[in-house]
Amino acid sequence: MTHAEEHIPDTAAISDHDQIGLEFGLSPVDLPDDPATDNGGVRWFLIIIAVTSVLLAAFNSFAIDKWARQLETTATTGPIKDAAARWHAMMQGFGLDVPLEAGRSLWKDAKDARFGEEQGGEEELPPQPRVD
Amino acid sequence: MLFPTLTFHIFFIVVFLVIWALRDNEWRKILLLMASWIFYGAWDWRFVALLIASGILNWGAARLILWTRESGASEQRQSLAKPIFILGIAANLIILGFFKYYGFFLEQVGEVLYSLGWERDLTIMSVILPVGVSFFTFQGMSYQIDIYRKHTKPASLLDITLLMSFFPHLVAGPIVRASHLVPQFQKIPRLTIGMAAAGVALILWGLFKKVVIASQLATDYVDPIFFDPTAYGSLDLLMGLYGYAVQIYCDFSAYSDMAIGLAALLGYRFPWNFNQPYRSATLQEFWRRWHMSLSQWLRDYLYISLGGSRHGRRRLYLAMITTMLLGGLWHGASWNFVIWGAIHGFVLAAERMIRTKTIEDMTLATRVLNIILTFHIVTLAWLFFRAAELSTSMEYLSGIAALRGGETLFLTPLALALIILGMGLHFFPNDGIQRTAAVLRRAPAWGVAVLGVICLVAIEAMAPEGVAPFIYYQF
Repeated sequence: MTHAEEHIPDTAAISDHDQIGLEFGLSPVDLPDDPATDNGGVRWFLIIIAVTSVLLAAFNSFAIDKWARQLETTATTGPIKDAAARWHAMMQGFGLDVPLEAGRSLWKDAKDARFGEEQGGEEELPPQPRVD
Repeated sequence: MLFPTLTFHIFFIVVFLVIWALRDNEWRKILLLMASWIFYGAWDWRFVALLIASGILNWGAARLILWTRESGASEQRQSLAKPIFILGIAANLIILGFFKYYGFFLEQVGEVLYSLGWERDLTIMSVILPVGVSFFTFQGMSYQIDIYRKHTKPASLLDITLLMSFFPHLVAGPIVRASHLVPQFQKIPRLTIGMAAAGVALILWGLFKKVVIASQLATDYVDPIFFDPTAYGSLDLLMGLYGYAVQIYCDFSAYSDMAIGLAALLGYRFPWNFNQPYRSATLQEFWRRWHMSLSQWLRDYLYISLGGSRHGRRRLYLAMITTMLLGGLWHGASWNFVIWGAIHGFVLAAERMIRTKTIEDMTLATRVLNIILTFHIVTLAWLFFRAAELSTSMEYLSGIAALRGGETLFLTPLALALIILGMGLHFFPNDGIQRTAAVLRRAPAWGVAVLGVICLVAIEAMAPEGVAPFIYYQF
């Protein structure tokens, strides 16, 4: 048995009679004890929320604009859409969309690659799948 | 409201801030319940009433069972426990049956009548399937059964409705039982940095699997092939099938990872739901690694109730096959799901009949051969699971068997790389997330945030246009 297999107990051994909740080790979020990190999880994650929100608003303003464009246009959402579009344009102006666009370009190259001598491209899109 | 969307991102941040700002555990649960209803109502507000009614039904039936067992209860009252239990379970099955099988049942009746010369159209009412109805109904039923079997302690109405409605696992599991979650609800949750780090790692990993592997494979390779199998050569059909095996694993396990991660950030621990299923050397092992919460549910509440291994070999095989057939039907009303269940049921029974060695006794070569064989049996069953019609499955299979070449190879290097990556994930240590979380929890929060942003921007760069719903939302 490998180390990895030892880590997860046989699921058949899970006790349904357990009255104290999920036994330790039966959840992927169970980590070995580390007293130094026992407290402060909420504060730790709040910092993550704050930093990621600011950085994503700057470097992934495309997502905000895309989300706003998908909102139904109403008196409330109209200003939100305008603000999102302006914000995205401003971030583009600062060049903060460069990492995302560079990643997109690399990914598009990977998608367009074909085996042999064939060249990929938009015109070779497959037949439309059914809508489930 | 889909997990990998900005709308959900905003929703979750608000929930996180409000929940952790509250000191009173009851208020925390009430607000979690309301948040879960808002989450569910984003699909269709009408079904929130169904969710509430289902919670009240299961809690009420359990209360009545407990009432029959109160000390000093007359014999007549005690004898009511079984009828109440049967009625409670029947009510759940009627709800499930109406929403999932009504249309299918009438279609079959119509076809039978037509074959008997009755050529009138039956009026088939269009029934919208509530998202996640199979999951929350099973959770409610498990509470009732556990109370009847005296396997769990009674819980309050608030705890049971929250158990069934809790938004991280509401629409596609894991199926978390009362005995696992209610004791956690009854205590004030605590968020350690380790739990938060594991939550972050699980959410990012789930996003990658869903958005990059599953969605990419689906939109650019698998969906077009299943749409018209006759248009492709045998190699593409075969690779399309492998692609679907990887897609469904990455899609469904991604949902579970994100659900477990989100619950962790709210202070609750969900059980494992996937453990590298395609490295299984037998189908029995596969079901210990795939959708573990459903397989445990089927084992404990169906297979054992059908007799399990306690009444001889014939009864054992019958219990196995019946369990898997019903497991197939649980996914939806279609003959393809029945065939999917039948393949699993018959192979499980056959394994039990002919197996002479346990997995531990297998040599490395035997184990490798068995892993390859098991993967192909599972993948063959996925064909029926994925195809829209039985005729499509047959066209697909005959296309592979014909060994025909297509005009051009539709398989791209990227699709091949994603299939290899999706399979390769099964052969790394399965505690990678925990190891990552153990490193992250020691890192400063701003550093983890910067790393998270790099990952999120990279995922956004690789995301196809729009996010397809998770496959298991339809169940």
